[in-house]
Amino acid sequence: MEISRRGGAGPSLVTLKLPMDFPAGLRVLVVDDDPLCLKTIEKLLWNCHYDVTTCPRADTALSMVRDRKGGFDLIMSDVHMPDMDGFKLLELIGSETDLPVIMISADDGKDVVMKGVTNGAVDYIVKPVRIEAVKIMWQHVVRKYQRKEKVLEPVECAEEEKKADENGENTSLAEDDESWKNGNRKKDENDGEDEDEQREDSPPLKKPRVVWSQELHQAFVSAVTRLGIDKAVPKKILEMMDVPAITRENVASHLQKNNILGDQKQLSDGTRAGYAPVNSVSSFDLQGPHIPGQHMPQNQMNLRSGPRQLAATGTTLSLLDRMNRFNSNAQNSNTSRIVPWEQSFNNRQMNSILRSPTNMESRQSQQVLQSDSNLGLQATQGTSSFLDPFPMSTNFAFNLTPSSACPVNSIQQSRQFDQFRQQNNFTADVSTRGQLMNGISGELDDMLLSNLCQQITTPNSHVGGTSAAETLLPSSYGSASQTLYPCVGDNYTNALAGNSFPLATSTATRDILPLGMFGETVPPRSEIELLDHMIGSKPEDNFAPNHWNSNRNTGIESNVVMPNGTETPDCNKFTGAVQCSNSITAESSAAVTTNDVPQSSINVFPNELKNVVSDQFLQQEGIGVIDTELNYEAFSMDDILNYTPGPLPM
Amino acid sequence: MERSSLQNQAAAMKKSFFDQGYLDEQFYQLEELQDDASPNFVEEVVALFLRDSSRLIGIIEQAMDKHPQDYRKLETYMHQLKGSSSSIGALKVKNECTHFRECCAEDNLEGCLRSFQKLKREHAILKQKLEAYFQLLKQMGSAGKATKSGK
Repeated sequence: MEISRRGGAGPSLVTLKLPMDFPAGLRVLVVDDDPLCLKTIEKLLWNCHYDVTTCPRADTALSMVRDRKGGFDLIMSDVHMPDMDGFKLLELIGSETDLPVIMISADDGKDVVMKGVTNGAVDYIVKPVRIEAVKIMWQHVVRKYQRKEKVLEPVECAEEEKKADENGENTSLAEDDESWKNGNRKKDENDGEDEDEQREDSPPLKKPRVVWSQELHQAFVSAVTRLGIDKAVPKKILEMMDVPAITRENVASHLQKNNILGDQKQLSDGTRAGYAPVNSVSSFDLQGPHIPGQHMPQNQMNLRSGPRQLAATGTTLSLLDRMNRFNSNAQNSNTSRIVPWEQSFNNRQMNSILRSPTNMESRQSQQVLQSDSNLGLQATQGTSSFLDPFPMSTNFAFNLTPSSACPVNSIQQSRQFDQFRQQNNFTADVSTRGQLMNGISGELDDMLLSNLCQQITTPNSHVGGTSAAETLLPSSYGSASQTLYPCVGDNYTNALAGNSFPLATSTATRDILPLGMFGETVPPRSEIELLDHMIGSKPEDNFAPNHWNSNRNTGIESNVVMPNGTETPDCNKFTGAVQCSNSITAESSAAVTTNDVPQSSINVFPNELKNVVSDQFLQQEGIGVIDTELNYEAFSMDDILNYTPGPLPM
Repeated sequence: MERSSLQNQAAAMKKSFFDQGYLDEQFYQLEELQDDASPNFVEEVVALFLRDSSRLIGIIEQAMDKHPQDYRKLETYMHQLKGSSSSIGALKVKNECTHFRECCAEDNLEGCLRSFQKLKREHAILKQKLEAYFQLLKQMGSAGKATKSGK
């Protein structure tokens, strides 16, 4: 895995190196009762550097999908199978997951194809499957994330508010802080103190933060669906989900988040409404340890002046920022801490910084809020230049405190950000940030929120792309290279595609991880895995059969089981060059990280998350990409996307 | 050199397959998939096809003897055969499967019977040709080794 650490002294700013041969590592499950087809398609996918799993039976495939939530990125299924109709499988997978499913068949009859389309297949390929079709299959994964991101947009604001209100505490910030510091760490959600054994030195975590990984979210969605909207109470949901690491409260807050927006009351709580931690600010400093240090004190000084609303210190409030709810209390408590960059993410610090918004700032933020997604991008850009782990988050210490118009802060923060930015070579647009900050700090009304959310979401997507940027090697995909890790954040696609931000294509976007709802950038497991896969690819990997083969041969041989017609065991797994593909899966999906930072305050530091993710990929097996060091809750853009509040019962 | 002559022979044989419509583009795709990691991929796939398709044809033959005819079932079998044959590029076999399915759709027993006979013939011919081809390739491989060993 090629994950290099950047950022100097700061917390490990894992830089995901997007392999140039993306979509290498895309995890595909192929279901076909014909062993010949299975063998052929498997080889095709293998040669395209995908991570292939084959299955001759639909029921087995369904079990695999269920058991390994988030373990696959794409499904290919035959239409005519003896044990189960392919469309039935499509329907089941569609109801339980959001995995894109491609139908394959020798039948090209119009009615059959139509059935595939109407049942939700993302594509229909007529046999024989050709390499041209397989080569670009990854588009469906990317598209999915894009869609999810859009769906999540409106929800984010409301959820954030809720989160802010719920958690708004120093503790959560503290937790975030700590989690960041500790890198990939899942926090247990129960007891703040016990949260993370690795962080002895952190202040007691009051509120463990649960990281709603994709897998977890899926379980949540399933539980809610099964219970029915009316009966989907947190307690029951918790029971159904049967995930040990989460509590009823976690479920309740998650439910609330997903319950959408409407509830602006949350904003009324000035203290917390906001965005988590100043992390965003600190993330701004991601670039290196020194920066945060410098940054923080300044921020603190300047920001202290007013209400804590705006965490964003002058940089564009990236999605992350938006996600971050500043917890004024937390922030306050942390102000005195000047920590390495990861600490800068500390909500507390941010809070304190934020807490002193000036009227001007809030006005600025107001404007900013109203600006459009460009802001996010800007922030991203700025951060991305850093290679800091929280590309997005750094820019924003977005504290949406509904109650106060912390205008002053925004300006100061903007200034701070600008300084940081300059120091860190941010390319972000300061003015925009300022505006954003103003907007944010101002009265948070729905519009602001939605603006913010949108901005945030956009940047996220953008960030996602950019995050890849830092290590984004100029790939043959060109701008698409940033979408290398769709899983990481569909954002990439968005970012690349339409954002007006001159996304720092080459270097800046370092680890932009999709920001979760709350700015957490830990991608859901699948993304993590994808990231993992991507990370795993060596830089010199190239999308060449030879290379592929060689990779495959080294070390993986034992894992390679060429299906041999009828001898094929039920599911063969080709792992090709991707070594750690599955490792992450299991764990990351189940990642329930608990920080004391409220979900809403999950920092929106894509970089951090990314780092977390990367770290996790590298180190662990799939722990929900939570870079505890960065105090990121493992929320990634994908997590946010996964939340897809839409379908959830409200 | 024996090897090169064998190579020419094999090349000519393969070309004839394409010219005569026994194989189509998909076969080239299979060859493309073959690499160092799977040096006998094409041969394995073809062997798999010949085995499975022979088995399936036997099943269809038995089904054809039943009365009344279960056309839906026959259609299903044919669909399967069509999928396999298309996966290796067995063009003639694939086309005949399509034709057979059309007859099934019309409940045209006579048509099905005729089509099936044709299908069996095509399948047998293809089997023969492919087996000869891979035999030749094996010979080439041996000749190559013999040469290397300095004989």
